[in-house]
Amino acid sequence: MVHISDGVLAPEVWITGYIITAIILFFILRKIKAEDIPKISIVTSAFFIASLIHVPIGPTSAHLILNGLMGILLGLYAYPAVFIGLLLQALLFQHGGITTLGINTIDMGIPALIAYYIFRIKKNPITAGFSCGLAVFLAVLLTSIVLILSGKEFYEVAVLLFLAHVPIAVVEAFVSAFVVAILLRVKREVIA
Amino acid sequence: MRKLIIALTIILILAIPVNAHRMYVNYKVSEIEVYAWYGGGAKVVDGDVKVYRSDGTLYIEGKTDENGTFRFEPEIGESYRVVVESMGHKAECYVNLSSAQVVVKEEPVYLKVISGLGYLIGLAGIASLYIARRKR
Repeated sequence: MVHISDGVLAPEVWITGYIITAIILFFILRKIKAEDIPKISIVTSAFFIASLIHVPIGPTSAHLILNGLMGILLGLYAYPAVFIGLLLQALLFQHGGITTLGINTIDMGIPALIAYYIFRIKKNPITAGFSCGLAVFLAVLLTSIVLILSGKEFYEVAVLLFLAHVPIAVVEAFVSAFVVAILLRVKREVIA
Repeated sequence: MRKLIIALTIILILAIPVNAHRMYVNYKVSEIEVYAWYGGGAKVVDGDVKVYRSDGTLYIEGKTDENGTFRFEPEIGESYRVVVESMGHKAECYVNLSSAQVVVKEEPVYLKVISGLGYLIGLAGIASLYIARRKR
């Protein structure tokens, strides 16, 4: 549950989130080329729908995030893609919220960028799986930090979120490894 | 015509005493069950529930059970704001007991998915247009 809803966070926290996201978006969006748009759109639509695939775990239910895979496929453009995907999820599925959009983009987008940089070291399915699993945990870590900044009890939240996302991280690692394995063989140029 | 009016009047006069034997049925709401779920249908287990009165004061609080439900006894004539919070998620609904009806409608998920994809295509179009203009 890395989507934080409206009204959970203190205003200082979500306003800061918007400012950080706006700065990152500003620098990344200037680089986008017209021929990148279709790829970004398709990966964003996958991300948008992935959040509907729920895995019920303990007291909560976690869903696929796919942020790591977005990083691998889109590189830096994963950040605007996460932003748009989250905006649509907030508007249509009420996952997350409008005020928390900036924060949620940070929580999922930064790990996507980290996954991209890890994958760049060695482009093979194993690094892909590893970096995508890691991206999920980093997203959880960032979410926990944000919730703590707004005065939630750290231990409870962080432990529960981590436990809930172990299966998600495993599933995503496998999904991403397979996707990357296939793409490396059939359409290498798709990978950022 | 005149006969008809007279006939109707008589019938109406005769009908009035029937009201004296009218049966009544009314309802009393003794328990409210709230149900919390995540979009797509997963239940919110062990979510923190807070029920506020219309003046904003806390009426009752508790946690949702394994079915995502929480029950409380309301005071009739009051309206409540029910807030459920779990792991960074938060949702609320209003229970108005003057009408005692809670309507929660959710569009089918596939419609949302389709509209989301539509938005994405539109955004991609706008972005392409913008970039194409910027190049010139």
